[in-house]
Amino acid sequence: MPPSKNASLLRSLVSEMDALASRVSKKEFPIPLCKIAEGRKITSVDFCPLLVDAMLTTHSEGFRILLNSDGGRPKELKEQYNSESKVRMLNPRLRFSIAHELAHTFFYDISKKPPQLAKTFTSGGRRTALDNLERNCNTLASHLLLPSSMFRNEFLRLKEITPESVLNFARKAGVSLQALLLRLNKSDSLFIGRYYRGCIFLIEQHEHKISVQAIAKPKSLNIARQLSLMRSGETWKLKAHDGSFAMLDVVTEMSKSQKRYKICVAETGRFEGINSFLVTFEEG
Amino acid sequence: MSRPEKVQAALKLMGNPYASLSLLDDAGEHAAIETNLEQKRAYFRKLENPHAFSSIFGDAGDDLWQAAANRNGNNLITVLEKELDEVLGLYKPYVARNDWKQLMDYRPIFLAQVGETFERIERVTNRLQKFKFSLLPGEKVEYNRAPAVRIISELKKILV
Repeated sequence: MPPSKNASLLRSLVSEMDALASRVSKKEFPIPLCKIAEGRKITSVDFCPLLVDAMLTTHSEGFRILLNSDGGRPKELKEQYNSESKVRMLNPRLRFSIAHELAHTFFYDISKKPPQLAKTFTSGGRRTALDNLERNCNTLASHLLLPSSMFRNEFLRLKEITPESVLNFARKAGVSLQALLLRLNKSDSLFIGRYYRGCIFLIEQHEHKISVQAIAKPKSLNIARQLSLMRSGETWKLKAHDGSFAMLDVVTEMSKSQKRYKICVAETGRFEGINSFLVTFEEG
Repeated sequence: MSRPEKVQAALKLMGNPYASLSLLDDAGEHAAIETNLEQKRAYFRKLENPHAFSSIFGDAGDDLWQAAANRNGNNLITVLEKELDEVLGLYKPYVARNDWKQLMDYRPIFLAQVGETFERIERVTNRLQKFKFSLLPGEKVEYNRAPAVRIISELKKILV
């Protein structure tokens, strides 16, 4: 099967995810994964220590999802999953893992007992069938957690794009900043809609090393070359600062230059000597 | 020396007559926990009800540690190998087909890195125990999709 058939299967599944998640959530964040799971014949979601993030099993009544409790208390996590609400959600990593496993169920005929595999991706685009399946299930999971229309409306409703507003958006939707930025990075029309000539970065600082974890930037807007060249995984060296403006010596794979930008920063996490920050760059 | 004699000798050394309570209790408790885990697994399979997982196993982490700690010290390396093979066997249906060899190649490296000290072998064996999961009769792990590197990286964490 040529790659275009993979693309067409992905498109149709994305539409299905968008519609389903909007419907069950009544167009309000966060998307209640528990309700989607019921509709997909997930009879149980269990938490236990695993060597992987999550597993999907089939049995005569449908599916079961096993999730890595990763040091958490399995019973409490299960209770939290069953009673998720706006004020009490599972952590974003677990929500993404559940959404990813839910995405896998859409490849099955769930009218059969046990469910039978009915469709799949094939190899293509220099990737194996397995790689394509996993990557596309991540995309589908992203649409289950952030259905396109709700995602668009929420982003366009933000009064301004600051680290705080982006952080609040992620918290409201119950998604990680990485997942949110990854999705934003694929949604050029949203940046155009706001005419946002800038970039949003999630960076990690460990001692004096600052590395880019995730990035969202417009593709079609004419932003500074230094911003458009920035890539995930690169390292920054901060030289000096002066009020709301900073001189940033940006070393990328393709260029080394200095330029002034308006920069806003918010700390988003601190763990074992690593600090995470959300940074917005905007041309003045 | 019989077990009661050993207990008496230990009590003399400790200089605390009440210590017998904790010494005797601990031995019985460990055996009971080990039996309980096997019973729980058997009960879960018998129920054929996936909803029952959490209520049966609950937060089983601590129990597992104690149960594993009760193992016979003379055969620790054999026990470790058996435990590792049991765990890997459980995950085998889930590992990407092409990656199984990579995981098997890592097996001797893992065992070599555990080292030879009694405490370390026992600690790693206990940690491995935690990663066992139970399936119902007829329940099947779907997709051969977990990359070996992911499992190897988790196994490396056990060694730390």
